[in-house]
Amino acid sequence: MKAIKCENLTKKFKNINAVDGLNFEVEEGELFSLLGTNGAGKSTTIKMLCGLLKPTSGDAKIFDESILKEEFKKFVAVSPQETAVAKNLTVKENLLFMAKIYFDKTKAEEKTKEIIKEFSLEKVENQRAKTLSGGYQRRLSIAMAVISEPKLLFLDEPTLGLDVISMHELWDTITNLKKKSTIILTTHYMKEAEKLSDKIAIMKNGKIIALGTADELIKLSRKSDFEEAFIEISKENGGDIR
Amino acid sequence: MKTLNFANRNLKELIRDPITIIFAIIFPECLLVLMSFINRNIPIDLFSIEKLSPGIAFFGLSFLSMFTAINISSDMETSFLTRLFSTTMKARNFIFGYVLPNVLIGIVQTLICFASSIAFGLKAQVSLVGAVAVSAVCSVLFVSIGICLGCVLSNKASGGVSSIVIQLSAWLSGIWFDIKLVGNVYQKICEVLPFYHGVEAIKAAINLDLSATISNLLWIIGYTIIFMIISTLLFKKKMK
Repeated sequence: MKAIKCENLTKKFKNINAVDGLNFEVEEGELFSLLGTNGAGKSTTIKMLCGLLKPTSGDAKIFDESILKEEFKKFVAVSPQETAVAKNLTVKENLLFMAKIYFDKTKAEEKTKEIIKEFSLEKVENQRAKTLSGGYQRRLSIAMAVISEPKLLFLDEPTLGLDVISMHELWDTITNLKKKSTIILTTHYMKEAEKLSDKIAIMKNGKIIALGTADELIKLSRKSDFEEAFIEISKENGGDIR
Repeated sequence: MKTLNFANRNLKELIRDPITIIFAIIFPECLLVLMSFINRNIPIDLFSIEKLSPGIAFFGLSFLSMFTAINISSDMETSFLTRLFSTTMKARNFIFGYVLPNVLIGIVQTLICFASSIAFGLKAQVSLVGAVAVSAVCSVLFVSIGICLGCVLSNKASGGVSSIVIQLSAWLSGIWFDIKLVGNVYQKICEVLPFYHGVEAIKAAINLDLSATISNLLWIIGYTIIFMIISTLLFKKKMK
């Protein structure tokens, strides 16, 4: 089944085409990365796909539900780029708060316990979010997105600003999440995209200029590693391996 | 359920912030004690406890606009609301989720203010219950103003601008001086804005003057409806 099917998805801000007629599909269970330089249109695309922005024209189907209606929101959860937690609530309270949006009290409490264990947050469960380290805050932020059991999870630069140990721990967490949800990832770390993604789309000027696996994109650019391939494709017009 | 869940989160955020306790409880209490002591030594009718107590109760409520504005602008800046906007929560869940905890804080503020006022000579009477109910309506007004400010201002600006609302409500409500003594234009400005009517409604409720309570309360309700509509529109715009 298709997790996402974009049909000429477009967003214009005054005269600027931030996203220009996107057409791509994401299979259920895939980890799909959106890469691009700043202003390429990644964030705008994600905002439209999780219901935070209305498209100017076109549509996208999330598990067959149009993003122009509200129903698709039951499938999605988002972990924004900035750590989006309630700072004066404890880790447990933050998770319980999110769980109660989707479940009754009993199930919400069960899910909270489960997620605390899954994300190894036991040590800090009664600590207020504002007192957590950057790594723990980011882990909590993703846990809050996952607690609703979303079929489609958007991770916007999840490892931004983390130290190398926290980054690797989070990569393990994301790899485990692949078993449960389809994941859309945006990142500026090429190694992260290469390591985690099943498919990668490179965006430029609101369009997808290349799409394929990391190996396919390296081959397309005739470079030796993925970072060089990304630079080469972004400088030129790329190519479509669909 | 979603509204109560969000209201519960906001209440925890508010009561765990020392600023709430300082401005909602300690500062108005200090003013009440100070003015009562001054009035004992230099008796002025305006600062008799029967007139001072409703004024301080109303002044305390004005801080709710600041708490709400800071809470919302902070949620916007940290992307906490971005996360929630992608859930199935509706604008009404957010608006009432911000209103309910602040009204609760407003009621507690008023109860503490009246309890202290009784210690300074205010007659303990059943009509105080009605005055608390009037204060609850006034607190909705200040929260709706706070939602408007929180939607349009940054986290840094929201504290500063909402303090202007607090100053306006203090100067234009007749708490610190009789507006009739200042003059026609000033008096008219006070009478067309809601703040003066808020204090008068609380006073009238304590004195069991039903007609004055209702006539003044209608001003508050009218302004509250206007600000609620504006705040809902602004919030819905933010959600898009």
